[in-house]
Amino acid sequence: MMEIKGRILVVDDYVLNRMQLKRALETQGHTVALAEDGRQALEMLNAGDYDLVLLDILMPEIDGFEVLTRLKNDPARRDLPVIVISALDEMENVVRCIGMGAEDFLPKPFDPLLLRARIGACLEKKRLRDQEVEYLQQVARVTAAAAAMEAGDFTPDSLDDVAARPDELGQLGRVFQRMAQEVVAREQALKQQVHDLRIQVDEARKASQVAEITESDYFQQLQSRVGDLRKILDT
Amino acid sequence: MTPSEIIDRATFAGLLDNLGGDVDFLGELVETYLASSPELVAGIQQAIAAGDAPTLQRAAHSLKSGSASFGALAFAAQCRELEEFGKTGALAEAQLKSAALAEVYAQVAAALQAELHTARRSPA
Amino acid sequence: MARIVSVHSFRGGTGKSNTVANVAALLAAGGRRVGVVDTDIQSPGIHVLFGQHSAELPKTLNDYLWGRAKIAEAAYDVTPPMEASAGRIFLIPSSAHTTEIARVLREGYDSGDLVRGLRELIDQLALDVLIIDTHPGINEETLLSIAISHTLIVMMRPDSQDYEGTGIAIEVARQLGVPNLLLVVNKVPAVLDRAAMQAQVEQTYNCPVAAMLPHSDELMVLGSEGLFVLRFPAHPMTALYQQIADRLLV
Repeated sequence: MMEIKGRILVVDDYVLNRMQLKRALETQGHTVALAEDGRQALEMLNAGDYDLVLLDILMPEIDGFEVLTRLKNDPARRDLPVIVISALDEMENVVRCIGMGAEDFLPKPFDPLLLRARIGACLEKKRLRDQEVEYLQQVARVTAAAAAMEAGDFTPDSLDDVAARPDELGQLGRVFQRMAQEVVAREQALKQQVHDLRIQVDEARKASQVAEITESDYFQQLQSRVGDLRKILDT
Repeated sequence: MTPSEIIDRATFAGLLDNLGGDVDFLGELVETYLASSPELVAGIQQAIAAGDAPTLQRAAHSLKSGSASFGALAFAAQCRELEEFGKTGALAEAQLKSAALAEVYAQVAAALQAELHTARRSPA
Repeated sequence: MARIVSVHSFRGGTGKSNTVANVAALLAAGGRRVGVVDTDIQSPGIHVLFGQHSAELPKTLNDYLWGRAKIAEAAYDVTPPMEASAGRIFLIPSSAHTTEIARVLREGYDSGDLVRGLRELIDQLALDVLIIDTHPGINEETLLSIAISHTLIVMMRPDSQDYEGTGIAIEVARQLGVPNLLLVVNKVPAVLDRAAMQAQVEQTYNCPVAAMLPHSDELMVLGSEGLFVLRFPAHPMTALYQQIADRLLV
């Protein structure tokens, strides 16, 4: 399987760590952004879109714990994975961070193979979670489309991306979309029909058929007697 | 101490290996270390003098981490102790431990430059 | 004085019998005594909706008119169980065989006699409303019942096959001087704009529309099992039938 490449934010106040991590991650094909402290990290996280954060713990002012707390309290970023950078003699900090929702930890000094393995596992997990979230969102889109269909305000292209999926959900999306389009087309054709529905009556033919009736002896006789007949009923 | 006792050769070689043998980048790292460490050494001493334990902890932490990555293990161990004093607020012990810090760092810096020089001359 | 109402359609399948049965039920529920003359007992028609089978209807209006039966024998009380109401529904089957018509002509039973018979029927059953469910198309008997009606309802579907025939029936009724002409459009597809369609129908025939009845599979199923308006009094469809019933008493 091809390794997943991600957009990774490295947060470390020590320049040497930033240099080494940037170099190692870029060698492995990832895109790397650097933050020198917690404040800058939070700003960058607000502005950009990342797949993973590598987070140092000991930093002045806003430290790693604080960054982690803010990320986990933000519903939009709760699922963004965080790997804590830590020396092996700081295991109590690592334990605390994992308890706060960090995904894993990366020991210093950095080992390229371990770095590759941890980052890869983390990105793969995130990819699966993203897929799951997207799947559930698209299922919700299909059910919403069904509701819209009932309400008569379904827009056919609202399921385009669901229909583009290669899996069973995509199949459902395609079938639903096709059927919905047929129903919409049929309804539009009907509406058009009514719009065009000039109640066409061939007046000449109608007149000749009316005449055929009204010129009959029976009708003539009936017409002349209708007043008398009504009197029988009404008096 | 001789340069080979100050810098652990195996760690230094391992770092170069991790960099794919890129001596130029190793050189950049060493230069960055040499440029940033005096500030950290001074920072440690100022923090002790000012009674600022958190700053002591952070500065010692960085210096430990950088030094360890090049194999300056004895110096890194000294920094680790200082970091621990910063963490526990044991500033008096830190004062004792940091007395010769600048001199030890100067030896580490010299040894590191020597190692880098050797690495540059060796065939890749 | 009883109101005479003929319900006509150019062809079968317009939901005429269903409409007649439900409107009759609503009138009875409102305390009226209603006679329903079914001229089309050959096809499965209105008697089924009232829970009758043609085998159980041995005597017809014709038997009564010919003196072969008493009115009590040709009028079947089919009033469904309803909450306290003095209203009743009598079903009076009538034979529309051409042989019967021929016999009327041959034996000189003139239209006056027929109408006097109806008057007797109205009096004896003390009817408030007599609804004549006519045979589709126009024959002499249909012309007679149209001629003596206070109200003619022409039922149509929104279908080009019905347009001309509806126009003919309206025109003929006008020439006979029927006081109230009403159209009922049935089986209107749910997607159609009923108000716009009603306006167009009224303009085309220069005749008011009493109701636009929607088509729905649900109604087809529910309506085939007895009197819809009594089983589903709160249904919007019942309100539409009531709209028709209200026009008949004016």
